[in-house]
Amino acid sequence: MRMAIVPVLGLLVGLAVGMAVNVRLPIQYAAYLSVAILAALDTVFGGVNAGLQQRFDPRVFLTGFFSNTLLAAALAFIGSLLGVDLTLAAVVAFGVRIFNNLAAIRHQVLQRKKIPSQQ
Amino acid sequence: MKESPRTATNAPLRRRVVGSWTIVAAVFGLMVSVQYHDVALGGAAIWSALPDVSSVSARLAAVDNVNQALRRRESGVMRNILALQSDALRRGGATALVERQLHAARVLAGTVALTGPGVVVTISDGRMSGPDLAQFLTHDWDLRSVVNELFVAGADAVSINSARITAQTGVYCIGPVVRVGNMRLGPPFVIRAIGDSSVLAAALNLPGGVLDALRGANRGLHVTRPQQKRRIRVPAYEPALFAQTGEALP
Repeated sequence: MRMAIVPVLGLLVGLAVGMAVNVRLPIQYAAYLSVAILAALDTVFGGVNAGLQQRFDPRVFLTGFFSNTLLAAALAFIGSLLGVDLTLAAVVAFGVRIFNNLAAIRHQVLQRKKIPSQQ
Repeated sequence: MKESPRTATNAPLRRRVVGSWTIVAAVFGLMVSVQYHDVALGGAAIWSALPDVSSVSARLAAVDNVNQALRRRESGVMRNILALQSDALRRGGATALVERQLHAARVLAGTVALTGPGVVVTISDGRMSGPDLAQFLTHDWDLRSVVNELFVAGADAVSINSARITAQTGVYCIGPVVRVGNMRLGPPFVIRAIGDSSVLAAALNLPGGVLDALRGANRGLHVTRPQQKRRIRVPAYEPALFAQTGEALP
């Protein structure tokens, strides 16, 4: 539990900075941030899942987070250049992955709960 | 069970895990709150999710870019034409008279920018101190009265902010702003007029004249004294191709 304190503080700092800085998104770029947020959410849940399964690797996690978000936004950008709505593809793909990760996390948590109750 | 000895002995790994989670959490929080803030303000993030709206807005932006490029080219060509014509004027000859008439017609039509002596007067909204909002706003008829007074006093060219007043330019109220021709203008309204500056200033300063009427009536409008200047610039009339004032709507 103590390990979670610093990341939670980081989350709060990020939230506070984003709320304090008054950025108005130009409409052309707002779609890319949406896709990037989806990719980031997917990576975060993937990280939680990996942590629960004891196979969390900080290097994989960090590179995955940044490359996923940037690639998702870049793909959406290329799609907009070509007139192909790749944001939709990203929303579907990352949505499916997020729900898969959530299901995996739920399974892990339920199995963990079982062990102490049996003791 | 397995976790506690491993994390206890492997302090560097643990630090790396915490560090990576912290970085990711901070960046993620930043992204989420920027997006949330934008949505809460009714910004672009709401519309970007709708493919129709975002594609139409992208097309609008592209058309605006093309229009601006065309306008830049047009003004370059116009500059060339004017230079050639003043060259022809200087050489004299049979075409000089026609050129001179053409130039006069251009000035009257408002299709060329002018510089010359004139007056500048600025009208700003008053500070709202009572319940009656309409009293403290600058209205279309306020601007019309000043513009009409200037033309009656013999002004050659009049503009409000960046809008040149031509024979076809209407000035009327569209809610919180004033529409002058194709442009939507907001306060402060800077009215520039080219002509005999002392006559123009005297016409505006008439006791009980237009500016006195604006200053009175307990309206709280800020009306500057007409400044006589040796050189002011009145812009050319611009047909509406893109928004002239303010920033693009998100």
